[in-house]
Amino acid sequence: MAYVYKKVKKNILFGKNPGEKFLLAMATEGKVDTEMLCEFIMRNSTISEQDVKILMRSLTEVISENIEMGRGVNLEELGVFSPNFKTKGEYDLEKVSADNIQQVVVNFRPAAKFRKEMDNAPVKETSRFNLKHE
Amino acid sequence: MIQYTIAQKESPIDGQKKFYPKIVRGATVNTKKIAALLQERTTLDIGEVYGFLTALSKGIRYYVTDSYVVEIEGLGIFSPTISAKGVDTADELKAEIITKKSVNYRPTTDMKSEYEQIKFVKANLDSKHL
Repeated sequence: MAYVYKKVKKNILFGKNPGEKFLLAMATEGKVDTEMLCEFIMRNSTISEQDVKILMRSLTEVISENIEMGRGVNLEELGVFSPNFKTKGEYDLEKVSADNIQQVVVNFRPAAKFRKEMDNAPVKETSRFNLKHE
Repeated sequence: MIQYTIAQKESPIDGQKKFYPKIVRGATVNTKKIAALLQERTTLDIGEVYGFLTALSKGIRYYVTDSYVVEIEGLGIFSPTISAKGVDTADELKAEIITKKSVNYRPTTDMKSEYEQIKFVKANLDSKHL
């Protein structure tokens, strides 16, 4: 288990010190989808496949229902999902209405346990993509 | 339906003070309440529902800290991220320059479409919120 990074070369155009720079970037190992996560849950609990699927669907519904009512949702071993707005400002108070809300966004703050596991996760270099110009 | 009020703050673009809609959040729903709501929708007992929530959280944490992107229909996409300072030479590229390991979250496209249907109502609050 580790955070895998790759080395990249990049042309930085703006900022205090522009020019060619070398950076470390995340090199993800692939994607885990709902089905794979359901299998993980079945291996780590006593719940049947059918019940895991029902619970997954119910959980996503319960989270959406609460976000759509403007409530945050705290899953204590994962983190807190909180709704927020992306908005457009006005100099004149009278001009501000619901039309200034451009988008509902959901912020996620990882739980302390999650943050600790991320801090403690080792890092390792990948042999793929290294020093590819991005 | 989500309630909003109006708040004044500095614009990040021109530094001028502007008025913006600001979300009025309801009380955060905790794990106990979520577990109770899930139990109502299944025939499982509360212990099994907690077991599910623990295993789900453990699964997401396990895969993210092993560099996998976790995409759950209806819940969102969790991606591992690192922060590191740019350096001038390839020789300086070492794990030690990583300053932070984190997780990035974004809703799936379906969820974003669902959120576009949300209605907004101005909250009836006094002027101290301005």
